[in-house]
Amino acid sequence: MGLLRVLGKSIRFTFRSKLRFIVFIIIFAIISSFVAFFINDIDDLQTNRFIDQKAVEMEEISEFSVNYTQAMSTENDILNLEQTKNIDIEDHTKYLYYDLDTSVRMYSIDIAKPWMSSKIKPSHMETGNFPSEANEIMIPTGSFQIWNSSNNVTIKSDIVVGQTLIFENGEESIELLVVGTFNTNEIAIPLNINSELWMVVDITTFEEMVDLYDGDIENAYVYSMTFTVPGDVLSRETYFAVGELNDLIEELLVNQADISIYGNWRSHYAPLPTQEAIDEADLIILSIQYAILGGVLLSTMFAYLISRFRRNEISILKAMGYANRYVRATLIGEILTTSFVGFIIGLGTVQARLSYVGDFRQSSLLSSQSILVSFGLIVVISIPGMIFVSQKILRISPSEAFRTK
Amino acid sequence: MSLEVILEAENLAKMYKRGRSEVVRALEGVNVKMYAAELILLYGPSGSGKSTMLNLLSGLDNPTEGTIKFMGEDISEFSEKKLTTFRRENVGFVFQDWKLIPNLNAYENVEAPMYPSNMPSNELRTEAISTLRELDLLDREHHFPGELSGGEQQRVAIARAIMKKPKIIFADEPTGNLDKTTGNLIMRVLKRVCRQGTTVIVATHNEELKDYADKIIYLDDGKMISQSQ
Repeated sequence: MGLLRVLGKSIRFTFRSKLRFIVFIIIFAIISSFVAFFINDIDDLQTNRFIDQKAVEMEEISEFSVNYTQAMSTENDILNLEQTKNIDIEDHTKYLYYDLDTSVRMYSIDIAKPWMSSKIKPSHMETGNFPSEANEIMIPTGSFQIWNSSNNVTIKSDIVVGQTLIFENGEESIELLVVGTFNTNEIAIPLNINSELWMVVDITTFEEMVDLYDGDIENAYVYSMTFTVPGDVLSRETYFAVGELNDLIEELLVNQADISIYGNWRSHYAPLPTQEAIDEADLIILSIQYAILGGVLLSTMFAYLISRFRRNEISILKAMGYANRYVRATLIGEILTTSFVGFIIGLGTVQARLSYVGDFRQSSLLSSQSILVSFGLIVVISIPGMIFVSQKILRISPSEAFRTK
Repeated sequence: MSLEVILEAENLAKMYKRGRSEVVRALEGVNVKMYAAELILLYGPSGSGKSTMLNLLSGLDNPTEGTIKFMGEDISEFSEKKLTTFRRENVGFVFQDWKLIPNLNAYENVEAPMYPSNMPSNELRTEAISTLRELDLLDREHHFPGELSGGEQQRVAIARAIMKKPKIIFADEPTGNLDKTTGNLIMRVLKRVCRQGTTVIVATHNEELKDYADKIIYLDDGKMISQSQ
């Protein structure tokens, strides 16, 4: 209780040292904004290049050229390469489509792996959000519905984000919420969107919908399949592993295989990362390192100055009977408050900047992961300063309270 | 006056090394007994050993020789942790230049020694307000040290020292930075605190404070010259 009270009071009293507080908050805000901004850049690099740098993506050559059974054979034989050819496969996903009737087609995604497909991924969103729940769906921009009224009047209206679509078979129904629209130009599958409704749904809902329509999942077709290798997307080693996997897949399926067993696929992966891309990544990583180094220096300098400014107060507190841990709590409270307030201001600045220059629809604001990682880094940055302060206060004698005038 | 011995020093000596070989005897051969509710003056010129004796008796420094017993326990044998507890529970300090924490107002300065305690916050507030009232400072509760006069700051410092109801208060030249009238006021306050049961030990070179003392210990050149009741 005593320790918490000391910490709480210290946080409250930190705001009283106005000039010092404001100066250091501004410096912490600048450092924090750099850290958050670069971390977000790295995050963008990781996600946007995920498929290019880490995965072999296989596509059907033409519509209905790979059925479900063929896709299962393909998937099993590729996964067997791990044993036969000694190559690591980190993850894999297949993307299905199924005609519920002549006017409604479903495409599957896995909401837990939003970046595994180069065709339908968060950066292709035009409005709304990428689905995060099983009952959430996406549709192409411009999708509409047509129905006849009781007076035989045909009504055509746009389907909009936020609308619920209800599918029923007389006994059961499934309600799906439209949460986003995407750009159809990114989908290479040749379909006549004007006569069909496309829905992109999570794989679990996909299977439920097939059941609702008394269908069989084995009648689905597969438009693409993705296999990823372990490793960091920004490393060339990962790229070479992808290349090796692609060669093995081509050798197994594309060049020699019987199309009737595996279906008609083409596999591809991106060319080597350009020097420009590597330089860009290196620059961002270097910037983060400098920002962290700057933060560590600043935090340690701040801790040093606090222990200097507060030396007299520390000796008074010790003379009053404050144990080292209570004195430490007062100083750490001050460092944490300053760095936290600075971090919030820095974060706000980056968010404001991104809002101003960015496109909201392209989710250009900081991701929650970037914020969490940045905050973790700011805490880590403050640690050397806290250790320094802890060591420093141990050496201050309470008798200094009598000596200093 | 109660005859309970609060503090007892025997053969107390403190030596410092100056340079490689020179030894400075800051204090030596001090034998003294201090009783509860006594106001004791450590009197002597500058450099006579008053501050050294104050540091030793309050456990801020360790003696080179001799023992200091607080209610029968030898504090010179205490560990750092035990000394901290001893200071927290039994000792209050009043400094010549007040040593108030500038970012805290009068009320918070008085409360501060008790923050590490487990006393509930509402009780803490009641106690601090009552202490401020006792020292006629209630109307200055929200003033920061820079907004208070020297006498008021010293009264806040005394309030801070008595807030935890210590057995002993050590005051180092408590009137040194004050005019004569305010200095007398402060001494009357300390005398009142003393009458309530606390032993007050004042280090000073101001002869005028002798009138307030129950016992005067004369120091010169690190030696106790005499003591008078």
